[in-house]
Formats: sequence, structure tokens, C-alpha cells
Amino acid sequence: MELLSNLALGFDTALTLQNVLWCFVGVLVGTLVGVLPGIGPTATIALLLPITFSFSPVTALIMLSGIYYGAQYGGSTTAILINLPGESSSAVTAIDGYQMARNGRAGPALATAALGSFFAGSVATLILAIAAPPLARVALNFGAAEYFSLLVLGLLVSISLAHGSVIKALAMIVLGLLLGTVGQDVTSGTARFTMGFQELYGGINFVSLAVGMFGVAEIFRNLEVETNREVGVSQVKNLWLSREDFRRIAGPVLRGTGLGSVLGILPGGGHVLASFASYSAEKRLSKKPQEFGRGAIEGVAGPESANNAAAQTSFIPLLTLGIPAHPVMALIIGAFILQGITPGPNVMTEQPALFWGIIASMWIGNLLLVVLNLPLIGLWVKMLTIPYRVLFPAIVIFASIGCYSIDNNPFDVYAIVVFGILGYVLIRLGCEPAPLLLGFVLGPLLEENLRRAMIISKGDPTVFLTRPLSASLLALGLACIVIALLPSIRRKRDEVFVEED
Amino acid sequence: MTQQTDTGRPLLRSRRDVIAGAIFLVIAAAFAWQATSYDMGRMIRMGPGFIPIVLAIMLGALAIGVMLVRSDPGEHETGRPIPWRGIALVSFALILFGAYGRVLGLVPVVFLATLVTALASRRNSIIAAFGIAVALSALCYVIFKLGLGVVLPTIGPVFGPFEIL
Repeated sequence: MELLSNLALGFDTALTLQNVLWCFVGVLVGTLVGVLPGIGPTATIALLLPITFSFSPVTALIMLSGIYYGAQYGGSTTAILINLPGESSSAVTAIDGYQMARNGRAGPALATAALGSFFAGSVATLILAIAAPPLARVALNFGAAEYFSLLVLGLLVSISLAHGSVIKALAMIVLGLLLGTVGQDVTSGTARFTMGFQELYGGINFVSLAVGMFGVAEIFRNLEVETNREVGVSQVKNLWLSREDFRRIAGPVLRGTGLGSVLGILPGGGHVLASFASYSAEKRLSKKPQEFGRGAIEGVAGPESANNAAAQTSFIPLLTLGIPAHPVMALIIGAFILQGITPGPNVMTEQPALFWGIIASMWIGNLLLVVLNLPLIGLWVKMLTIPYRVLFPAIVIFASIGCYSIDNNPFDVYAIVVFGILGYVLIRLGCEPAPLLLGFVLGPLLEENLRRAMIISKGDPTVFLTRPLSASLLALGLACIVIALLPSIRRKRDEVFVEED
Repeated sequence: MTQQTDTGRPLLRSRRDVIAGAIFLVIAAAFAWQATSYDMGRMIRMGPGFIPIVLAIMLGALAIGVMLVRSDPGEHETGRPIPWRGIALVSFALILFGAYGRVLGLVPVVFLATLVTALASRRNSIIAAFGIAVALSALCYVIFKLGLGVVLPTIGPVFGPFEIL
């Protein structure tokens, strides 16, 4: 019953007044940015990172995690009410959710999304609590060579799940790795690529890079074509589900939770894939597939559960191996590092209160989210009427203040401009920024482990292939690339990412 | 490029691939050139230049790959206009904030930067931009000064006797 005592420790940590309060703030902000299209959790967490400096590590991480899974909830509200996914993972929810809203069933659609998410979030958190310790124990036996191979695998897997050109994604990863080498070299102290700027000795500011690539570049994208969004439903009534509805959503919710929990562990945006996979599974299993696309409640229940389960289990690679599954997790790694903690298998043994506190806070957060989302739905509908032209100046200003206050250094604000423009140009040319951010975060770890592995093996580069665990990790990575390149899979993948109907 | 061009669009796509590849190539060359001045070391004890060189060569190879390999059709949306005015104004607002934040103080710099940023959208009139700037200045004062206590003064030293810390 080690699990129970660990969870008791976790709830002990998470249930202090301060932590519950910041958990609430986190899920509230998360819901808000999830609801509003054009601002995502990635940019928000990047913006709020500097503010969390003054917090204790556990409070900071509880709040930042809350923003992430809160955004998954909020995204579905926007998808259902205005047919615009607030988050990429709720793109599928928009298909049937919006049709339900048009048929006057917005209430049941929102309730299904909230209840499905709550169930999936709670179950997936339990899976996280059970699966993390044994995985972390395995990871503790990893040497430098295994770590290097694992990092390579993480980077390669992220490609096979991202959409768009494989070769461009590879180039973005390498560019990210290169940007990660900027700054003083840890071993020799040589200043690399600093171009004479004192400010670059500590490396490129992670927050500036993330805010520029994900926040400002996105604003430039939205300014290309300015559209009005219309709230189709101004009032939501009748949030209760009928007995018939409950019967119909039980299966999809369970299957969605299972699919999401498994796919969430995969690096590279498993939550998006999970909701798509769940939707097509439900459509295939349904006795009335023709209803899908016309307001089938199963088409809301499955994907919503799947993306929330995935949001929770995507913490597994982070907490056990210190490897981020997607950009948001990369930011959370940044938060760990800023707090002076190296994320990885050691966190669980050295900082059990932190580790279990975060996990326990996820249940509290999920409960708070149901309370926030159902009774207060009217408030969120109101938020949707704020036009984008008012919203984006606020994003730019928050970004400036946030980056400036890290070190009170104007350089960090100028860096946002550079990365905003670079990000915009690359996105327009069909290169997604997510692999770059992963490469940037993992780059220093990759270099450190490579150099250490070379010293241990006395300069023999075959060590990565002769150690069985390392070799199989690399083989797995190679397989991911090959699979992503196979024409038939590529077509399938494109189909998955193209909205059906 | 040697692709089939049954319509005009594939040509446009290939041009984008070439531009993307060229950007990667330029960055790779810049990093490689700079990295040659660092100590390479040997396999057993790699110097600070070793990994950057390897990465720059990889990026260069991938850049050529990006230029040559035909990317998926449908990957790029066609000709949405580049929002030059928006990019210029938002960038200007950020630089304004960085350069004058300390002397102007939080409230004035937020006001000015918001005014400039808001005009990036063609849907904002001058009056609307003023309104947003006033509202956001007040909001930022409450959140960042009263709530989080940022180091920036409320009204900066440039205002002389009206300075408020």
C-alpha cells in the first residue's frame, strides 16, 4: 500500500490553502485561454513562468499544470458554441458539438464534455500515479548512453505525430538543437554564438523564444485575415443529461479514456491524435454512423474524454524521464529548471512531496474544473463576445511585462521580436514551431549526455549500438521515421488530420 | 524545380520549399562558420565546437533535402496576405517597451505600447485604440503593480516630480 501512503502525502501537500488557491487560479486561467481562440496554453504558460519565480516549486508547478489541463476543458466550450476549436485537440469536438448546439442541445453537449473530461482526467491521473514509480525506477538505471538514445527517440517520435513535411520537422529539430547550444559551454566555459552580447552568455531566453514563436507569431497569423467570430448560441439552458444520454455516452467515455491514456504518453502532441483516434473509433463502432457530423453525442463524449486523459498521462514521460511529450511539457521542464530542480527519475525519490503533490493536485484541479465549467458557463459565453482586436494587444503587453520582469532586461523583450518574426516566416513556409522548441529544450541535455557517454566509452561511438537498451531505443526512433515516411501511412495520417465531413 | 505543374499552385509550393531550405541553409552556414573558431576536441573529450559543427552540417544537409523533396500538397494554404502593418506595429511596440519601460514607468509604457499594438488591427479606430490602451493600463497596474509587485516604477523618472515608484 505504498501508493496510498504516497497519495496521502500528495494530498497533504496539495490541500494547503495556498496550493488549492493557486490550483484554482491555474485552472481558471487555463479555462479562460482555452475558451478564447488565438491564445493557447503554450503562450500562456510561457508568459506566467516569470511570475511563478517567487512561489515555492510545488505551488508553481501545480498552477502551471492547472493551466494546461484547464485549457483542454475550455477549448471544448468554444468548439461547441462557435464551431472554432479553442485548442487544437478540440477540433474534433467542434464537428458534432456545434451541430448539437445548433439543434438546441448546447447544454447537454457542454455537460457531456465536462463530465467526460472529469471522468477521463481522474482515471488518467490514477494511471499516472500507478505507472510513474516503476518507470522512474527503470530510468534510474539509465546511463549516459541510454539517456542520449532516449532523447533522440523522443525527438524522432515527435515528428511522426506532428503533421506536415517530415524533412522540415527534422530541420526544425536540428535548428532548435543549434539554438540550444548558444551560450556558455558548461564544460569548457567557452562562450558560443554570443555575438558579443553579454545577455546571451546564459543561453537564449527560453521564455522569449516560446512567447515569440507561439504567441507573437500566432498574432501575426491571425492578423493576415481578420474575421469576426459569431457566437451562435447566446444562452445555454438545460445542462442536464437524460438517462438516454448517459446510456449513450458511457461507452465512448470509457473507450476515449483508454485510448487517450495510452496515446498521451507518446511524445509529440498525443492529445490531438487521441481525440481524432477516438472520434473515428466511435464512428466505426456506432450503429448509426450517419448521425456523426449531425450532432451525435458520442462524437463529443469520446474525443473530449480522450484529449483530457491524454493531457494527464502526457505528464508520465516528464515526471519519470524528464522528457517533455510536447511544447507545454517543455515549458514545464523549464519551470522545474528555473526552480533549481532537474526533472527526471530522481524527482520522485528526492522530492516526494513535490511529485505526489502535483499528482494529487490534478484531482483537485479536475474537480474545480467541473464546478467552474458547468454552473459558470454563462460567464464563459460572455467571454467569447470579446473581439480579437481587443484581445491581442493584451497578449502583446502581458508578454512584454512577463519577459521583462524575469531579469529586468530589455534584451529579453527584443528577443521576442526576433523569434516572433522568425516563427512567422517559418510557419508560413510550412515548418511547425513545436519540434524546434522540443529541440531547444532537449539540446543541452542531449549534448551533455553525448559528451559524458563518449568519455565513459573512451571515445568509442559504437557504444550507442552495443548497449542493448540504447540500441533498441535508437531502433525504435528509426522505425518512427520510416513509418512516417511510408506513403500509405502518410496518406492515412493526412486523413486523420483533415476534418471529416 | 522539376515537378509536375498541372495547375499554377504546385509551382508556388515548390518556391516556398526552396525559400524554407534557403533559410535553413543560411542559418546552418552562419553557425558552422562561427563554430570553426571553437575547440573541436576529440571523440573521447569533445570540445565546445564539436556538437555545433555536427549539428550545422546536419542542418545544411536537411536544408538541401527541404529544397529538393516535394512537400505534401495541401500543406500550405494559398496566398493569405502578409500583414506588414501588423508585424511592423507589434514589433515596434515590443521594442518601445524594452527600450523605454524603465524610464517611462509601467503605466505610461503600457499605454503607449498598447496604443501602437492596437492599431495593428485594421478594425481598431484611433478612438478604439485609445480606449483599449486606457483599459489595459489600468488592468496592468492592478495585476502587475498591486498584485505581483513588478520592479518597474508605476510612473517613471522621466516625469520628474510626478514619478511614482
